[in-house]
Amino acid sequence: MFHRILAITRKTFFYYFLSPAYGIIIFLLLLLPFWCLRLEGDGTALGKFKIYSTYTFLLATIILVGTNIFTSCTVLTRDWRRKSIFLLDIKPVKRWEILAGKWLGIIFLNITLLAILFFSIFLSSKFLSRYYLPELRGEKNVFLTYQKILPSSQKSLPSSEVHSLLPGVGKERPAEEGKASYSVLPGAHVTWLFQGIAPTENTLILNYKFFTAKKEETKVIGFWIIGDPSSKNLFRYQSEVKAGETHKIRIPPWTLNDKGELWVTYFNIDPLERSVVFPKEEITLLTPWGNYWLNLIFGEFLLLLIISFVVFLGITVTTMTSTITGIIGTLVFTSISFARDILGAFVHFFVDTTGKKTAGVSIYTHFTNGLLTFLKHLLPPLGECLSHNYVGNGIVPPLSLLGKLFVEVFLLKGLGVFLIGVLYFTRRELGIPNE
Amino acid sequence: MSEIVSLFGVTKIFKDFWGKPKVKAVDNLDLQINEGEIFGLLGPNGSGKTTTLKLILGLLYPTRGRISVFNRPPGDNLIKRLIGYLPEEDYLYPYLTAREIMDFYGRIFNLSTRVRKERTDYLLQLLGIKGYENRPIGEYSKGMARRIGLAQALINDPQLLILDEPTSGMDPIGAREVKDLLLELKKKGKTILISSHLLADIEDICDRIGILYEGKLIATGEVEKLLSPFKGESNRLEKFFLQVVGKAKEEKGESEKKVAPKKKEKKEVKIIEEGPDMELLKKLTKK
Repeated sequence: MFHRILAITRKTFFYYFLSPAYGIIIFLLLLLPFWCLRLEGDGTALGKFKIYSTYTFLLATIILVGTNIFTSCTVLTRDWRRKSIFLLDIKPVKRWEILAGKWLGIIFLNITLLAILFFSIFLSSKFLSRYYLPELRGEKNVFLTYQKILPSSQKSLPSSEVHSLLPGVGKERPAEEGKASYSVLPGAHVTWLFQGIAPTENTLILNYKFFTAKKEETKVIGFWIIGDPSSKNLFRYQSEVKAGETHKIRIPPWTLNDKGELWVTYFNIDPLERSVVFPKEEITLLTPWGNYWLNLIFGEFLLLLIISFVVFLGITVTTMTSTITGIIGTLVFTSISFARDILGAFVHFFVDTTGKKTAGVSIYTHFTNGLLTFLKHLLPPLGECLSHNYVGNGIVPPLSLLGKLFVEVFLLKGLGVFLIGVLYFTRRELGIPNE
Repeated sequence: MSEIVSLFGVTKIFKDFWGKPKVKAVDNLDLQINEGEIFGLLGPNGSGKTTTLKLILGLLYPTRGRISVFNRPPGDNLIKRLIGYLPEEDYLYPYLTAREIMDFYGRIFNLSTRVRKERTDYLLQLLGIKGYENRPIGEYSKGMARRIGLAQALINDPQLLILDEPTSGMDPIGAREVKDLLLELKKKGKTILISSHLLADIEDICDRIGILYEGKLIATGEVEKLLSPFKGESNRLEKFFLQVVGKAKEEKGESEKKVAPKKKEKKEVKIIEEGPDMELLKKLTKK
């Protein structure tokens, strides 16, 4: 069974993959993220990143859905027109295997296209991060590089404000503020407040670098208290590191407060009583503003769910009709599936107002409700699969949502539609002349 | 000799979109094809030859009657392994090369890589495609495409070979080679069903023939017995064919005469009496 399906899959895949039309699609997908780099957004790094990821995913969805509507509606009818389906059908292959092989061929093709899109996003993201953070060119971890361009607005507070919240630790020697660096005398401390950080379950990373008056080989000891001073949960950390090098502190995510703020206080407890200077640009927080790569993978998975349904639908419709009717039908059903939530809103509107209307209108709305509700349940929630909302906002879609969408879009609606196509196709006569 | 293909009272009516009968392509057809024989299916255009083949292959379903192939219903996956089919037109993928076509169908039959390669090389050599096998089918001449069609029909070493116009579009040498190949296959015990307009080809290689006219089997039997009245003459099958078909046309005209209104009756009679087939038939039978 599998060898037959795989033979058809292989042939379908290579036919489309090597076709000039798909060459253009691949070229478009390679260019798309780089084109999206040109979009300015609101002028901030965050805005730039949001608009980049949102448009990349949205346009990729439009291109791939459009391509797949066309591909799925021609994959069968093309064979029909050439009559090669007859020759295939008289070989020891079942009709459902023909459909499954063609579906799989298109899905493998899309997985390849999504891999190309991923590669293109990878390259363009790297370019984006380096363009915005030229000082991080040596950063190997692209994921962390990303976090740096993310939104934490950074400011330091007068120590006195913080000191009152952290009693009994160190002497009160306010660090200089408003300069290009933060100077912390022995026994003094400095506090930074990072704001606008999206809630996360991942570790935050604080990058810092400091200097001492003299270049020394011995390590400088400091003490860090990280977390909202008004809460009891504070993360404490003692550092013993050399001056003049960049260091990292891994900060647990629970240190963030509800307002998306992170308080970081450094106490100079060096026993050799050396003053330390933090250059302003060297204190940066790598905020895990959503797991970017995980987001991309999940985003592509959701896109694949949309595509798999579209291909199921396209193949099913064309088992019963011609190419043109198939394309129109698939386009209409796919569009309604994307707008399923709007349909839901209609249903709620009618349900809510039924009691207030006259009897005639109530009967009308009763039937309309039934039809709308039926349609809503019949169609998959493709709108929920649009990943740009997640990726653009740095929110990792929860696994429960992915599971729910997989069950609803692929298993229930997608395979359900496909089953109708298989049942029809297995009973259909293929050799009717002039068909 | 066991029957490989049997059709009992098979009727096929094509219907329109609304389910109303449109054309009766095959009418109460009884036909048996025995193991190891070459059977030729003849008939004028639109007589139901290709429809009969499609019914045997399971591409079409009979409206009435019963078909069995290797004692199983047509379309059964088990018997599909034993059948090779060369369609009337080139139903091959034009973007694939000859080697890719053979490889694809070989995979469908789950042949191992070694067997696939061996059979592909052998068949390409046998059918004179060697050296051209890496060109897309779409670039081939009709005769070459027929050869590849025949090669793909033989990839699974079938027990039953169904050929629709096998030598159509081929040059005389190619046609001779194909006929020799079919005789060779017959010697190996294969059963072959050929549908063709080329009566000389059928006469050369077939053991038995059946002539279809408007979906009905109007003559069937062993070639030698059927053609015995024309002994010593040339183009015997052609003469027999024209005689039988002409007679069937005449009978049809007679029956239409009986049922048709007067105005139409005159018109029909005129056509039959002055038809080119009748003239030709008269001349031929006088000889």
